[in-house]
Amino acid sequence: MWTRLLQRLLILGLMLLGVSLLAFLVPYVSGGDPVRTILMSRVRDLAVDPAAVEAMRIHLGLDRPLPVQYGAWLWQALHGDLGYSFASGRPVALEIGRALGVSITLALTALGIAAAVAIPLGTLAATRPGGTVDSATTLMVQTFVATPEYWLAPMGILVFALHLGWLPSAGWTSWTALVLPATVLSLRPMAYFTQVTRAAMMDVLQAPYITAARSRGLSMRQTVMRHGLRNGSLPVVTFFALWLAGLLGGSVVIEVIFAIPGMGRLLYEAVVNRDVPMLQGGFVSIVALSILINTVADMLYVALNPAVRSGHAH
Amino acid sequence: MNKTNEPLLVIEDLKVAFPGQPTPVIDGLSLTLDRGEVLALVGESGSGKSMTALSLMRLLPAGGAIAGGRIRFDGEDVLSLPDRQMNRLRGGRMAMLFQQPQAMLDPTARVGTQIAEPLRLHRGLVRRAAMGRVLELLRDVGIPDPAVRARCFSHELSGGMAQRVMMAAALSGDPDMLIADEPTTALDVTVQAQILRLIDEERRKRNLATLLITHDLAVVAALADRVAVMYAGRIVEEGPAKAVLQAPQHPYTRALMRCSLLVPDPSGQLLSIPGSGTHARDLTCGCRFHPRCSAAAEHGLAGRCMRSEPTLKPDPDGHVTRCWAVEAEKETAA
Amino acid sequence: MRIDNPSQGVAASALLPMQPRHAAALRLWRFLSGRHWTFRTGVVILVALVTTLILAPWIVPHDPAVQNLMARLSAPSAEHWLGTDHLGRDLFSRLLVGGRFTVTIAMVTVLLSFTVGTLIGVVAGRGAGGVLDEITMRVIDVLISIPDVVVAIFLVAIFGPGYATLIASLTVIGWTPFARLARGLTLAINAQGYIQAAEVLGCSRSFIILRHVIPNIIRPIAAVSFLRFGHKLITVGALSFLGLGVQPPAADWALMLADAQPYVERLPILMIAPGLAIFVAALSVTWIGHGLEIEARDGDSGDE
Repeated sequence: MWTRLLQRLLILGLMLLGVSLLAFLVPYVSGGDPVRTILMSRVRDLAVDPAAVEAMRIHLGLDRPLPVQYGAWLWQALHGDLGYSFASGRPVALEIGRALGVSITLALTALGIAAAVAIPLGTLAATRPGGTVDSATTLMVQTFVATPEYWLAPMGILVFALHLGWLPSAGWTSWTALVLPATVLSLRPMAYFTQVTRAAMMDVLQAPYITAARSRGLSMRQTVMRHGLRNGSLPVVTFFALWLAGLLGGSVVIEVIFAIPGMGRLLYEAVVNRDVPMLQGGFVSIVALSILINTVADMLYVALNPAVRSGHAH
Repeated sequence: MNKTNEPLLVIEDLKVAFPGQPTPVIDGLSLTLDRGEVLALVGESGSGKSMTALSLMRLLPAGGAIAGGRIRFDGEDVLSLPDRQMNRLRGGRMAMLFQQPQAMLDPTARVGTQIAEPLRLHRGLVRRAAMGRVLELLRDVGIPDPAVRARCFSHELSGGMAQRVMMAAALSGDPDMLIADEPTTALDVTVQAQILRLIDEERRKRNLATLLITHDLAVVAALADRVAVMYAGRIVEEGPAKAVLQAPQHPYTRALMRCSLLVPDPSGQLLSIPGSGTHARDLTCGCRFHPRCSAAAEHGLAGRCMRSEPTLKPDPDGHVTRCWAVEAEKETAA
Repeated sequence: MRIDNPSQGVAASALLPMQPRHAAALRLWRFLSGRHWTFRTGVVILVALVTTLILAPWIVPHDPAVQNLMARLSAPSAEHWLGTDHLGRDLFSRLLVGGRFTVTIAMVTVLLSFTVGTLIGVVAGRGAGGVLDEITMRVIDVLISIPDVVVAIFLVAIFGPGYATLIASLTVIGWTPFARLARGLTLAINAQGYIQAAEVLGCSRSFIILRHVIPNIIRPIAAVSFLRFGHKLITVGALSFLGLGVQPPAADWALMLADAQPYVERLPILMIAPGLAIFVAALSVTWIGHGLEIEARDGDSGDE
């Protein structure tokens, strides 16, 4: 168990180093000249004064050899300094911090909705495999998986914001603004959570200890609540974490449609503005955070499962 | 409600079937069990012993269904009870021990919580009071340091310890009947005797009717008042334990006796019954044991045994057997 | 496998008017009969869809790129079956050609991920417990948690949108679920008698993998690849929606959705039609995957 964790941390470090190298190098090898890009993004003019380019290059430290630049960049990144945005001139780390807060709120709300529906539904489906609830659930899962959120979101705005006027159509001002994007965002994870819960509960409900619990006089409902759910929800934890990581940048479409100032939108705007430091910083921090969340989830899985905790797992 | 003359448990003509299987797993089984009595149900694996136990609890695995017959427990028709009352019967008046005690405990719940369940459900005790009773029960079943053990998880217990915990959980609802489904099969030999002694002590103390399912005739000899021998979903011989063990009549019971080490073979060999009983249910006619039976040929009855199935014929002393050869012997003796 | 009644197949194929070639219809019918209903429905939709997409340039009633600013946002009519968009382009024609990019990218990505992932997973699984296996598993643990959209956005930002960039960026992460599944299935197969027999006979590593392992694990992996296909369709669409996939003026379902946003109140069909197209495409492959999954599970039910 501990060796596995150590191994994992080691690989994690190496991967992060690799990702950072990629994030740093790719803009250079792609042939674009960052200085030109910056100046062009500022003056919106193709004819840039060569003297200004040279001055900028020295100002940004881009005249130094690449390894030196990478070292400096990495060193600063490790100290929480990801440079300054080409577009806004503000510190990248600060912007990312703010955007992350927004994205995490959005993601947790969406996943909360998803889990709140999926766990009872998946459990119910598993208690009567092949029954009406089960078939309806399967169909729902398939429908949600196949529905593009960039279709559902504008339709939702059309109905709930423009026609009914119940919810704001965009922005990040009050909790009502969270309802529509979080709901739309929750459908796909809801579908996957339901599937995972169903499969896990089917396994659990066949376990001998379920029969034993029933033999003590627990009703099916009590058995599921007391012994089924805890065992059956273990795989869902891992899944929840995977999705949390996935939604941090993966909710970009929703964030753009609803004008939510989260991580996805930050990345999107960095692309539109060709804002290289923002892009690098955003990419590296999303990857780092995804990996971190996933590692924590693995440890949580172990913590929730007493048998694995003390090394009795198979 | 309680009919004084009727035994605690009466099973009449029970049939259990699984869809997709041509013949019932249990086919016309009748048994009775009185208060304080120990009935041993014996037979090789697959003969339907465990399914009988699970039918009594109405806990057959998915797909399995009771296709016919009646089960009466203390005058109540078990098979027609509403779910809610059935739940109260389970754990409250009937309790069960299983073969793999560790697998029978929820790996993520503490042992004490699980023992407390019948107390909280059937006796309506609050958590505190239930926990106090759990510690008493754990002490009763011979677990040292109950306060520590109650906080353990199943994987932290040995097999014998886990079976003691299961016993505590079974006793916590203060039942009238205990079903013990091969309670010692998965345990170390040294532990087996301890668990059997525990079962015997507790059932004496509480006047428990006990249905003991086993394939070990030594266990039967030690504990049982009566024995029923099952083969391929049917009872082939039943009677007082002493009578059946000392003078087994059915060729299958005799063969079982010879295979067990209860009666050592004079030549010092280990014996086995040729063939297997797995497909015996699928025989369309005749005695289900006849393909493996030596008595059929000895008595020149091979044709009869192959064509029609014998019924259970009683002795004057309540010893019943399902065998043409035994019938023929009795006739010639008379 | 399933045995069909050939005469039944001939009779039924005669009833399929859409199929020009008898033999092809017969084979399709054989392929479908007796399968799970979601599989059948999915295959029929997918075949129809892919055929339409391939033939689209020849069957469109209007040139999907030609603008007609005089007929902007016109409602459905005999001339324009589904109406026209904000630049007066025929919606129906754009719908017919609008899936080519997305479907192609998703298909190639899944095929690549499937191949790479399965190979890595099987090789790791054959050497289970070894150093290579450990490293592979840890790498997968890490990669699988990275959102593929983010990788795609990053690479597209730098290299520009295009087939190669999108396929590469989606495959970099996309192979991991396949590898994990293939490894798990291989571990189960390792213990089987015929594999051990082949090992004892001294068969080479690659021979065992190609002849014994892969044929036995391919069905559940194929099921998953169709499920992933649906997922990829939507992801590629998302990138196009953001302007990081197909570039205008090319027609694309997701791009049409993005363009339709300002006009949705005036002409909802502009948004409903392309959305429905993506939904149906994704649903068809999801159904195929679901059907295959059920077959794979029922095929070797003792294995779980």
